Amino acid sequence: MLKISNLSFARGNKLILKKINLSISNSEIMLIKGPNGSGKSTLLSCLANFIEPLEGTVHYFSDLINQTISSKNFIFISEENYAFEDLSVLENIHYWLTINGVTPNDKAINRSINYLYGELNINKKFLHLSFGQKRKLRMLLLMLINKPIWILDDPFNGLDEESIKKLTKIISIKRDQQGMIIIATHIMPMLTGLKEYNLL
Amino acid sequence: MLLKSTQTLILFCFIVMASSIFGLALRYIQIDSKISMAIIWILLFLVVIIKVEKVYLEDFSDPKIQQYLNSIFALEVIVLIKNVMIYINLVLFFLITSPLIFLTLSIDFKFFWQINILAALSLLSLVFISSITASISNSKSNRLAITSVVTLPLFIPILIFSIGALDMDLGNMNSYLFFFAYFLLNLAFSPLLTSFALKKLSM
Repeated sequence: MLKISNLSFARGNKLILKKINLSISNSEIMLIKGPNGSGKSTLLSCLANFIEPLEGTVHYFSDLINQTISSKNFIFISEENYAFEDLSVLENIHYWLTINGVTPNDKAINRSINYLYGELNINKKFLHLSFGQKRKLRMLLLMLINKPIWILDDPFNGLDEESIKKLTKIISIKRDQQGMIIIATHIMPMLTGLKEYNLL
Repeated sequence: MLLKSTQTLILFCFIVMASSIFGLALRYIQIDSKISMAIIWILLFLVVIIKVEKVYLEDFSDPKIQQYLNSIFALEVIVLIKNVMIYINLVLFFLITSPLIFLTLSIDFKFFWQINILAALSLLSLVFISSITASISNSKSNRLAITSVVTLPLFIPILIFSIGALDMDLGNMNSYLFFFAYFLLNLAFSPLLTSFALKKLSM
């Protein structure tokens, strides 16, 4: 269980998050909604322990979130691409899997690429991929790294209809495997039993 | 990292061109070899700071830092590995281009290996100090770009000792002890300060 209690965050003199309380259990999907600038990404960054809140706590079961817990249990996919422009798709995948302590398995990589892209030359430089293809690569880590909590910042943005369906399926599979998924988005995914939290 | 060697090649072409200009301009003047050493080390300092800044700008952008923070490695370890790779890249290029630099600045070739060892040791500290500078100047707040100059005094001992190195007995390994000790000091603090600045200022 992930529990956020009285979480506030300020940047300079501006209070961005004020006394947020929410909790999410295994096999649940939490949708964080709100207009632009309402602090959705900031909330996710606090959850992932990237930034320190002004006050409040984030607990993972009974433990206060720290670097060790977050790196062991969380996958964070931000709005922007993390890939290296001058490396190929395969080199990027190998790099990020190694950084996450996963031994690259070519069979699993090919299977995931086939599912997300259909046909794709994995030796193509990331720089030469289309905008949509670049967006999809962010999702590949979700399929190749096994961690219980997914924190996704606007994951559907820039994806075509078919890719949105595929990502929705990946998310629902993760939920069925007892995963916790936290999504900040404007696009309503076609999933049932979502928990919602509105940042106004 | 070695894929980014084109960038380093361009930077070392800059060193060769700049030293040629100095060499040509000072052709008819009897100059002290200390001036040549000063020219080399100032150019080296500029190249290191540009190279490290470029690598940090690309490799430590927001989403990449987030992935590093969620990885099994501490950010300090990643910073250390990046710095070592930048160092290897720079030291190899210095070794390759140094004969040209020696020719253009009329430095006696009997100092070839000594100056290369000196440069290799200096580059270690230069890269590690530059990483602190780059992590501050890459911060989200543009106002901190000027703040990064606070690290510049840390470069001064290297420049002073390198320029004075020709007066020392470079055949004696004890002459290099300062550079080694200074590097150890930087090795202890630089990855910690760099990762702290990346976490606090870039996120």
